[in-house]
Amino acid sequence: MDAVVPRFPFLRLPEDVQMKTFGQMPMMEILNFSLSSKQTKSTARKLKLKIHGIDVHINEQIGITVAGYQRFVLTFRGLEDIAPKAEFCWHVFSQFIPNPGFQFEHWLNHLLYIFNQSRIRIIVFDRVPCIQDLLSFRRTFDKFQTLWIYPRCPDHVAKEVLTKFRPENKLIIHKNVPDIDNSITSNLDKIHMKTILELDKLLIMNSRFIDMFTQNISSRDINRFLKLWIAGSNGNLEMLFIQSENPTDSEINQVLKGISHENVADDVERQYPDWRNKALNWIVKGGFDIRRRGDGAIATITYVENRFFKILNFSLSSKQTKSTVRKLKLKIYGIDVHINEQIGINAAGRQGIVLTFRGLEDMSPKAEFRWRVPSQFISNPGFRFEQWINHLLYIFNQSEIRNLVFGGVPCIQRLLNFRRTFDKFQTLWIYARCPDHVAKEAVIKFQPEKKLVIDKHVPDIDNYIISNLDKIHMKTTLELDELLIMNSKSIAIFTPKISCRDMNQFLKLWIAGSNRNLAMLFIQSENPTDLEINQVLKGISHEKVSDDVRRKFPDPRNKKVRWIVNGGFDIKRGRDGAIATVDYVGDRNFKMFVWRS
Amino acid sequence: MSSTEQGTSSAAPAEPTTAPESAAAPEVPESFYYVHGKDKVVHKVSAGALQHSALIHGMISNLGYTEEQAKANPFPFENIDGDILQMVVDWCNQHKGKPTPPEDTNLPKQKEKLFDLVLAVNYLEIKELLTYCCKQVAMMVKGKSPEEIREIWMIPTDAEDEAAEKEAKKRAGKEAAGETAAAAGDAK
Repeated sequence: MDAVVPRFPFLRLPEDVQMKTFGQMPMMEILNFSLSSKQTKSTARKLKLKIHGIDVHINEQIGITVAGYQRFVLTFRGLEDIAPKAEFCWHVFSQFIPNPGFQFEHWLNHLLYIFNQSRIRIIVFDRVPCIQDLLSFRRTFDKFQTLWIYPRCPDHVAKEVLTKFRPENKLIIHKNVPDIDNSITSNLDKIHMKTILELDKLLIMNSRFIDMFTQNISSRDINRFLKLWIAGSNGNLEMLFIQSENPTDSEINQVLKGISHENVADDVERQYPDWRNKALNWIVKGGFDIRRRGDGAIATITYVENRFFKILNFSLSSKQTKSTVRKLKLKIYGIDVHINEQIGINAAGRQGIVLTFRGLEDMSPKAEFRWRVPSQFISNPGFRFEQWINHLLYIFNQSEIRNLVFGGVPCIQRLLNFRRTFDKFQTLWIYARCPDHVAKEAVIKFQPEKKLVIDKHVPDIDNYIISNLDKIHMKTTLELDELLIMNSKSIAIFTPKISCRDMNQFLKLWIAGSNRNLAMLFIQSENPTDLEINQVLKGISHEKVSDDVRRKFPDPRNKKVRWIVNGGFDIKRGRDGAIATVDYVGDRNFKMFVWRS
Repeated sequence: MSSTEQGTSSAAPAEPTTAPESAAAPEVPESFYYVHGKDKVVHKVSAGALQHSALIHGMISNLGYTEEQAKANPFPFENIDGDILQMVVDWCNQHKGKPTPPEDTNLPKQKEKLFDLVLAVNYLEIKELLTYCCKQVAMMVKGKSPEEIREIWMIPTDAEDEAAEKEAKKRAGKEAAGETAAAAGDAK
C-alpha cells in the first residue's frame, strides 16, 4: 500500500507567503518546482531570484551555468542530450536532475525565463572542434553580452565564431587568431585580445576599455595613435592597456614625440574610477598627461614594468639573488603542477605566475603573470621543468608542491624520473580526460599527503588507495572494503549504485570503531536507488531528528565553512560516544556527519 | 501549561494574577487582552504574548483599551478557526518575552492544519511563527521531483489549467450573453 502523501494547496497561499516559503528552499527544489507546470514556471519567475547571469560554455560538452550566490551548472553530453548532469554549488555536488524531456536549447530558454534574464551573459568557446550544429541555435544566441574565446579553441572555429556570434558588450579572445580584423565588433564596452598590434585595428575598435596583449609594441604606432586620439579618434576610449610579450625597447620619449604633455611626479597617486565597478578604483602613479583638442579631455599615459617578472628574473641572476628573493617572503597559496599535453607550473597567489613547458626538455617556458600581465617568455636560465620547480619552491619558501594534476596526458613514463621532485605533495588530482592506464599508474606511483581527487572511474585501483588522507573524492563502484580502508576525514564518492546492506554494515562497523577519522561522508549514486533509510538503519539504535531542525556542521578543512544539516538520524559510536547524523536525501544522496565535541 | 482560558464570549474571564509583594523590585501588573475566533471561544492572552502579533499589537496601541474595556470587547477573528487560534495563542504564550530561537520544534505537527495555520499567522502578522511555518511548508517538498512536488502541493497539471481556463471563458461568455439578453429585455 502506498504511503499517504501529505497534500497542501500551495498555490492558494497569499503570494508573499509563497515567496517566503521559496526563501527557505534550496535552488534545486525551486528548479524542480518551476518544472512542475506552466503555472509554476511563471510563479518561479515572479520570485525574481537574484543571479549574476546565465553563461554557456561550449566544449566537447556544453554547459549552462547559472552564476550567482547559489550557482549551478547543467552539463549536456551533446545538443540532443535530455538528461543533463546538474551540479549545485556548493554542498550538493553533482546529480542528474529530473528529466523534463528538455534538450539544451529548451533548458536555456527555461532558465532565462525563470531567472528573468533577457539575454545570455557570457558564451565561452573552448575546445570545440566545429560549430556547424550550433549555428541552428543562432536565434537562441541572438543576444548575449560577452563572447569569450579560450586558447584551446581551434583557429578556424574561433574565426567562424567571430563572424557568426556578435556580443553586445565584451569580446575576450585569449589567443592570437589570424585574419580577424574585419570581424572585430566596434563600440563594445571592452575588448581584451591577444593579437599583433596594428594601428588600424586599434582605431576600429573604439571600445571604452581596450586590453591588448601583443608580441611587440611599436613606439611609432603608439605615437600616431595618441596624435589621432588628440585629434578626436576613439572618442569612447576610457582605458587602454597594451602589453608586450617580449621586452620592449619602446621609450616613452619616442611615444610622446611631438605631443604636448605634462610630466606628473612619480609620487603623485591619482585614483581612476572604473566605470564597470563603482567599488573599483585604479591607482595611477605619476605618468604623462596629454589633452584632447575638441573637448579638453585629459589622458594619462604610464609605462609600467612588471615587478613580479623583475623579481623572478632577479632571482635567476645568481645564488645570492635567489637567496635574497627567498628572504622577501613573497606570499603565494601554493605551487601546483598540471600535467597535460603541455606541463604547467603554477605559483598561485594574488600575484602569481604560470610557466608552461612544451615538454620536459623545454628550456624556454612561456610565463603568464597574474594578474595584469597575461603572458611573456621569461629569460632563459637554461633550466628545465624540474629545475624550475625546485627554483620556485625555494624562492617562494614552499616545502612541497600543493597540487599535482593529471589531465589529458598520454603517458607518464618520463615523469617517473621526477619522482624525487614529486616526493612530497599535498593533493593528487586526476581529471576526467586522463586515460585509464595513466590514471592508474599515477595513483600507484604518486602518493599525496593530504587529498586524493579522482574525477573518473579508474578500474582496479582499490589496492592503491591511501589510508588516512584528509580528503578522498572519487568516482568508483562503491565497495564496503574500500570505504573501510580509506579512513579519511572527508570522503565523497560518486558511484553507480548504493547498497543498503553495505551501508548498514558500514554504520555498524563505524559504531564498533572503524573509520575513526571520519568527519563527513557523502555518497552519491549516479542513478536513482531504492535505498531505504529504514533498511540502512536496521538493527542500529538511532534517534530521528525532526526535519525542521537545522544544525550547522563545521567543515573540518575550512573554519569559515559551515554545512547545514537538516533533520536526519543520530547514531552513537560505542567507544567514545561520538554522535553521527546520517540521512538519505532525494533518491541518490547518502550523507553522514560526525559531530566533534 | 497554557495560560489561555476558555469560555463563551459572555463568560467573565478570570482576574490576572499580581506580582508577590515580597519581590525585590516592584513589578507592573501584567495586562491581559481577549481574542476569539470563528467558534466564539474567548482566549485570555497577556499583552506580552500578544507582542508577537503586529496586527493585534497595532490594534491595542490604537484603541488604548483599559482592562475593563478589553474584557468587554474581545478582539474578534471570525476568519480563524477556534483550534487554529488556540495553536497560535499557545505559541505566543510559550514564546512570551523570550528571544525566538532560530529553530522551533514546538510547532503543531498536523500537516492538515498547516494551511489554515499559515493563513492565520500571516493575517495576524506573527513574523517569526510565519517563518517557521514557511519552513515546514518548504520541508514538505525537500528532495522531491517536479511530479512529486505537483502532487504534494496540489498543483494542477497544464492540461487541468487549460481545461479550467476554457471552462471559465465559457462561463464568462454565457454570463455575458445572459446579461445582454437581460439588457435587451429591459430595453423592450
